[in-house]
Amino acid sequence: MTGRSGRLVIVGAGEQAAVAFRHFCHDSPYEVVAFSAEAGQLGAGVYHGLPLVCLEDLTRIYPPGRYRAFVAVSGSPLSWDRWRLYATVKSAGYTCASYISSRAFALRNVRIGENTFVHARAALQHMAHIGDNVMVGSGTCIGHSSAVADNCFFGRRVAISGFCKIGRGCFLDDNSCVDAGVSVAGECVVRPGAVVLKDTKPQLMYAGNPARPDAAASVVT
Amino acid sequence: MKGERIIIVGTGETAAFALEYFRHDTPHEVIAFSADAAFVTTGTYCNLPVVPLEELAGRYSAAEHRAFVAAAFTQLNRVRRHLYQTVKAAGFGCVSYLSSHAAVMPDVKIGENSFVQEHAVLQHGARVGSNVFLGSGTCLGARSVVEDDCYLGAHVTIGDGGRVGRASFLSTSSCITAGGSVAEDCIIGAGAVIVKDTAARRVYLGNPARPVGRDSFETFGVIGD
Repeated sequence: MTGRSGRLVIVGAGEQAAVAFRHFCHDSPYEVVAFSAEAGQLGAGVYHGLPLVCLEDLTRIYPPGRYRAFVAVSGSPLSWDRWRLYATVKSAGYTCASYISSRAFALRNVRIGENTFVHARAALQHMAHIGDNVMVGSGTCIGHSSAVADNCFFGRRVAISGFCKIGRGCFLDDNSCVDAGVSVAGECVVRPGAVVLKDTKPQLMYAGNPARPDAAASVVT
Repeated sequence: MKGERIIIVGTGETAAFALEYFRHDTPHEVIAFSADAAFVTTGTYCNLPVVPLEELAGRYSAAEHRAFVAAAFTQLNRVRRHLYQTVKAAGFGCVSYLSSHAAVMPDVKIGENSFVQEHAVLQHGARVGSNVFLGSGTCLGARSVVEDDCYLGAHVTIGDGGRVGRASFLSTSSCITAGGSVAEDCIIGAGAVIVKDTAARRVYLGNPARPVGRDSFETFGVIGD
């Protein structure tokens, strides 16, 4: 791609970082210049042929005024590390990039925050609002006038109907679905294929069709 | 496709997003909205004039304009059907919308006033009636049939040779297995999986889907049908 519009450091040095690297390189205006990770995860200091620098040294080597960041770490439920590192990077003064696949669909009136990643074949419908630090998997649909709060993670082929609210820090696994107008409260985990027909309580795990809370499996440890 | 001057009939959420799709993904020009006089509370909607339905034919020539009725599944699609029939009786032809991000085989047939959203897949020989809504990512298998006035939400799957009877509502992520049939006026809940043919006018939920013993007209408040 020609006409690079900014230089980017990816925070993370695992599978998610590798995935983000490929997408930013091949399908965005950003030039990825380095990776960054916390001390103890630096290995030989090189990842995918680029410098892998310690997060503590990041502002000195790649200052926030000249570089953008993208935090790409594990998507396992719930991604405390992803939330914590995003907060760390923001407090260091970085503007974070978002990525929307050129093969995703988004109406022009959709609002998307920072450090959000939207995979191919996702559909973001009329007036959908997506917060900061949200991962939207391939084929996932966020329905019209639905709102997704910060730090959420959606697997593949998730269907969020119209007028839904997804609370902060939720994890919705592959092929799950939320019926029209339903609210999923903060920090819930929705298991693969679960069908959420009624509003949920916060910090519970839901599975099945219709989805029911698994009282034995609180998501907060 | 020839660009038409069109009037969107409806002033709710469906009308608002239909405007976006027509503006950004068709050669049509939306010039006004229209609604039953009882629902015309302001003179404009989305910065376009709103004309009472009763005055539509007097205000805009049916020969030079087309209509699109944009309503959801209120009263089990009766509101949309009523508006569509009213507009047709006034002499208007209706356009259909087919997303440029949908995959439609060339031998698929689609009636008028139907709306096919992004990432829908209509496989060979599928037939879609008039006044049908197909949501994002919905897949119609080969030779499947969706009759008039149906509403299929996002990520619905109709297997090869499947059939959806007139005015049925299939919610998000529901599925009809290959060769299966949903009778007319049914409500199929979100994520329900239809593995046996249904009876008409019933409500089905779950996987495998079972009738929940409710009448669909009562469930969706159908008045005077």
